[in-house]
Amino acid sequence: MTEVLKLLTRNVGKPNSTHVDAYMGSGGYESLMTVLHKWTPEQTLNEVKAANLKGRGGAGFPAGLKWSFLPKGKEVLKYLVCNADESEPGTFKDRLLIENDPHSILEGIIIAGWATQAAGCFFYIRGEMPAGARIFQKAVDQAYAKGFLGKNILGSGFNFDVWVSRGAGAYICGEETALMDSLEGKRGQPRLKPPFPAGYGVYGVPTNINNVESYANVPLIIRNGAGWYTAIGSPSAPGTRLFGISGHVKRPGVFELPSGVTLRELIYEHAGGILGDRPLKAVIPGGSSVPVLRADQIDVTMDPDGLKSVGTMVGSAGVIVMNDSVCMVKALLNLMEFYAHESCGQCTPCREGTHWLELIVRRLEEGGGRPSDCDLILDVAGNIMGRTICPLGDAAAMPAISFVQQFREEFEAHAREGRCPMRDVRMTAAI
Amino acid sequence: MSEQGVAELIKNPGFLAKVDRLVKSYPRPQTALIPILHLCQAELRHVPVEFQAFIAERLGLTPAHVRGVVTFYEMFSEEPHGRYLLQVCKTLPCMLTGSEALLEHLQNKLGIKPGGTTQDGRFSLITVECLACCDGGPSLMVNEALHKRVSTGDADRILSELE
Ligand SMILES: Cc1cc2nc3c(=O)[nH]c(=O)nc-3n(C[C@H](O)[C@H](O)[C@H](O)COP(=O)(O)O)c2cc1C
Repeated sequence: MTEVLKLLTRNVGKPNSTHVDAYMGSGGYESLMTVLHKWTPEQTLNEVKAANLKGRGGAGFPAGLKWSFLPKGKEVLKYLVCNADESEPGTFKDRLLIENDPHSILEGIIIAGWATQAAGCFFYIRGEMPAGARIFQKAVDQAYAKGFLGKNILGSGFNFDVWVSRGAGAYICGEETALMDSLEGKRGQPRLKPPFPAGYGVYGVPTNINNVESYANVPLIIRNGAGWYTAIGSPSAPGTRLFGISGHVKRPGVFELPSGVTLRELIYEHAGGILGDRPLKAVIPGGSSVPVLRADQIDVTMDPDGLKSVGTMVGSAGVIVMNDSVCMVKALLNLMEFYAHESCGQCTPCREGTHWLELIVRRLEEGGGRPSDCDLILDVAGNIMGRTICPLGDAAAMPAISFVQQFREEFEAHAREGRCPMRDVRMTAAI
Repeated sequence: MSEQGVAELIKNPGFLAKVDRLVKSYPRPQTALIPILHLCQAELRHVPVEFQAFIAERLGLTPAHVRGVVTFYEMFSEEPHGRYLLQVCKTLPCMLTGSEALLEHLQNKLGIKPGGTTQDGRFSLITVECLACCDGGPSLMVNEALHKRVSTGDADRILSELE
């Protein structure tokens, strides 16, 4: 069995793990001291580039490369954003870091600030995590008191601030440009790109945005070097990943593992196998927005190449497991309700399409389905894909298309029988 | 601050000091809008139009802009909810682990549907989308407190411990 690695999660469960003194007691902020005293911003950025750190928010874009898109020099005002909106269903890994080790995120942010010569970072945390917001704010206050934030940090001449801001309940505000509008005190509606955030971000100022887990990797890369980092996990996605696994498994939770672990091992070894000791039916491997897999498709590595071979993606590494007590139409209905509810309403294909998808899947589940409904779902979803300002439309269309393709017979049975064939099956519960 | 109206709130020196601190704590004042709306929602359990007008003027925004924001975000409401806001996560991982039974139990126990408030004004019940604690399904948030793996028995106990 692949060993759990305690890199990002090294401090989770330690006493007082959110306090700056505990963090410093185990080498915390030494990476920041290294770069501020010994490395130029360029060297710092190049090390992160060489480590090939891939973004952990969902799209997997190389972080160092993204940082290099910002205009150079400290005369140009620039901001960073840390995306702590964590609202993709099935994803709960950032919460673990925020609530247990805020300083590891903060140190990564400040190092990124040095590398890009930014003026400060907005930490945007979802509104439903009030405790996390308080913990992070306290960490920020402690960092100011120790001189890791503010003016002339550790005598380096570098100034950097962090501002904590809470969302207020909107999945769309995890999308980077909607998040920036939200930071500007607006409704969270994605912006048309280009211009990209690196040229026009918060208040129109050039901005770099990364996920919580992405920033938390940075101090490790600085401390141990890019060579050490790229030796962990698979070449296409170096380092460890915080895999969150939920649904029908015996031990749901976050597991830190090298990215090349197989999906089977994650489910049957780390998460203890299937709840209710029933057969596995389906797995969504990377948060609710990625295509679903059947039980016979789990012998793949949890990295971009492995999951691509079965037509899906790592996304946010949130693995949702379903055993054979689950009706796939009902599961899809749940997701379609989510996307219809969370569509910001800006683009017609998404605003209208997500509601039509919900309606069609609902009528199938409730017994009013038509034989043509499978094709209708594929048609509606196909007309959303690629036709919207932001990827929320795709995020709704991909599960819709894949559920129908992977479990078409079950969808057709609903229409044929005029009812849910599984309506008398009791779904396995965790409590 | 206990039961008070919006008129008192926007004259309360302690509250106004908090608003001022927020306005000054970001590079530009407009970033304070959502944090300030959170303050109001916490105090009054809703964000009435009178407050919207007050804060619009304070931040140099139009009342229509503020109203657009209030109505966009799920955590702000224009009607007050009960003293305890029961938020049942209904998204897939929680549904798979038992949120439907939890919701049904709370509906029967309180005699209200999602969106409703008990007659005594103590409890409001709503469903919410994913709370990012999928390993703790079914999950229930009561005001700011998150409860994980909530059985119907746990729900009874949680409610009985509230005043
Ligand atoms: C609808 C939608 C929701 C998103 N939600 C999140 C989120 O909650 N957290 C996150 O880090 N990224 C989220 N993203 C991705 C961000 O837009 C962005 O790619 C990410 O923050 C970049 O960080 P990274 O490069 O470090 O991954 C979302 C994207 C979309 C389209």
